[in-house]
Amino acid sequence: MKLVLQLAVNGLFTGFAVLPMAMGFALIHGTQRFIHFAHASTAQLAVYLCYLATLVGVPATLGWPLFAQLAVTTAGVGVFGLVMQCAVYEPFRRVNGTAEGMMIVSFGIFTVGEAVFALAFGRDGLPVRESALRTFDVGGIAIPALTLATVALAGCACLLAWVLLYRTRAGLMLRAVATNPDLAETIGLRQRRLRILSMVVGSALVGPTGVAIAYQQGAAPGMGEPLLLLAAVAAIVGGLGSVLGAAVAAAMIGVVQNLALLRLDPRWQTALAFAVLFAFLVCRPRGLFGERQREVQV
Amino acid sequence: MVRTARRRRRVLSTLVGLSLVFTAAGCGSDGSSDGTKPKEYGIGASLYLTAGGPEGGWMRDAIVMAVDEINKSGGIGGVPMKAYVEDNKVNPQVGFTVAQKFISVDKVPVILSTTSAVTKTMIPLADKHNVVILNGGAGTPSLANASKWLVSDIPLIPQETDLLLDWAYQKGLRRLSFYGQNDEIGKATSAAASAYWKKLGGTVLDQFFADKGTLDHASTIAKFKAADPDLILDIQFGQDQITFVKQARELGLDAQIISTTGFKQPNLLKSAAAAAEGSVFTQFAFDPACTADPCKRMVDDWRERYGGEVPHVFAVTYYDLVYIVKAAIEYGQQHDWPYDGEHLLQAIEAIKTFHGVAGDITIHPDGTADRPVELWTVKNGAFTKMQDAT
Repeated sequence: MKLVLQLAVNGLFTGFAVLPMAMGFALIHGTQRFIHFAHASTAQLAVYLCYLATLVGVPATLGWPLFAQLAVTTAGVGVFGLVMQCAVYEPFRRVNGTAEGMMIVSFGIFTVGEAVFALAFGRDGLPVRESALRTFDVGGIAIPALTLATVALAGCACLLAWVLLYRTRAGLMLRAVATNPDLAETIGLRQRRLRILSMVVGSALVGPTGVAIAYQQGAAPGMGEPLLLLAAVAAIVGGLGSVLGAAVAAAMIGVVQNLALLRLDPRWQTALAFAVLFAFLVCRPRGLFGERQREVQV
Repeated sequence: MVRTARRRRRVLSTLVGLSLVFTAAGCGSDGSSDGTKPKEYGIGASLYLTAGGPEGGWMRDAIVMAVDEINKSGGIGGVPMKAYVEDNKVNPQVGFTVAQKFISVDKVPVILSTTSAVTKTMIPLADKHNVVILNGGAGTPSLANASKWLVSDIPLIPQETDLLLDWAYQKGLRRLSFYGQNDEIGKATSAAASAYWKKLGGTVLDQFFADKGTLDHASTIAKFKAADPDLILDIQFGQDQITFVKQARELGLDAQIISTTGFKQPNLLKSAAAAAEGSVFTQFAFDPACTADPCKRMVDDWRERYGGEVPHVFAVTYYDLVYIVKAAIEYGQQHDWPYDGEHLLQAIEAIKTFHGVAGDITIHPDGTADRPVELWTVKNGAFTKMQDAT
């Protein structure tokens, strides 16, 4: 029983670590209507930024206070999103704005990003300095403070995203674009600005994911891709556009992946996430909390 | 007409003359097969430079430094040595291609290699082309007697794990779990260590393997915790090992962690000193405060050239390999042998015992060597020797 609970706690960490990234993925997909592969590069950058942030600061085991590292990382990936949208996506959209074209451009950014990161940071892993965060023992179940911090960070990110989407004028416009881009344009919404906003916010949401992962695993090349896979699966299973859905799905997939280890080898974890995705696509295509698409026949 | 024919003859005779000159001099780093000295003594070095950890870079630095030392002192019998260094990325396929390049393009009769999987991939090529493989880093048990062309200047990993397990058993620890890299070295070490532990009277609880590059060990740690071992033998390398040690302590796994030579890496103390406290590991003996050559020469040259202490014992093992090649070439020169794999191997077998940085290195008939091994621990955030060389 202890093993089951421990695996569930581990699963919660995995799930909540990727949750903000999943919400960012859903936000960008909802407003821009293409699969943003370069979200993996954003995650990779977030991990490296957190690593760099831990190198600077007072000579303590924790380096900078965690919130400062989080702020630097989040701001850094937000700026990365801004540059990516303004320098690549928007110019390309004017030439070929199809979902396929944008997806290929995104894949190109991801590929170039991998090479740039390897050149800049090398192919070796870079361990983050030892954390002063402690571990709590609850009845033999180890609950690292990092897991609690990750849950709290993800919760805050969820709350902020919800406030932005449902309690601000910008959020209303973003949702309008996501629901019906043509109608939104007809009523005069400035889509370019909204696309930039969604990319900046969606990328900034990767910040907490990057910090949590960097603290747990250090920084190494190729970390963005598996994170993107998990985030994308969580966003789709939760129902694209649903903050609550992404949260529940991320936690669920993390726990399922870890509990499966009672019987399976760890190498099957990624395949298991896809099995969950496949099951949802067949049985409940709109995801856990997604809205049913209605076809209007004229 | 006559003048044209004469000119043609002159051009032809010049071309023939030039080709004879080039043939006699030899091209590239070809070894001579007729007993004459080649232009250079080329050696290949297949190392991991862009993946797998910083040790590969230290091996390269040691090889380049040793070759430069030899050349500065007049080469070998007046002939300079040249090292061709290539990156195998810890990938057997890349390692195979690199070895082919050494053999067919650089035409070297000896290749310095590292990592078990890459070294084993090169063996068929060595068998086919009579090329000597010199190993200073790979330790999988199956390298013993793997090929007559494979020679190591280090012992294979069981010498280290046996020492560790003896220490653990004497300390009263009985329940062993194994965590290894999911490849040749991990699997073979697991089998050898488990057999030895059972022979001692201990119990092997479980064995897990992780792919290289696995940075999330939480699920495996949970399984270890459930089994509640007294000790865990960890045969991973680089950051994989560091993240395992960190996460093990974070998740409350308090079993004694033991490991081998790769454990002593500077990054471990930078990022997981507290988590690694009390861990015990083996290390090939090497005293940086030595006062006699060749150890003193290496330490001094390293300081002068790279501005610091010799960072890892793998720098020592590859430095030694270059001098083993030098000794074999000198032996060949004395007997007027050509520079080729067959005669290099013959020379190594004849010399048998070489004077290395950390003491004498004796090559056994199975291709492995004895090297003194020490027991170390992490104490108060520093690597500390527990037991002198055995």
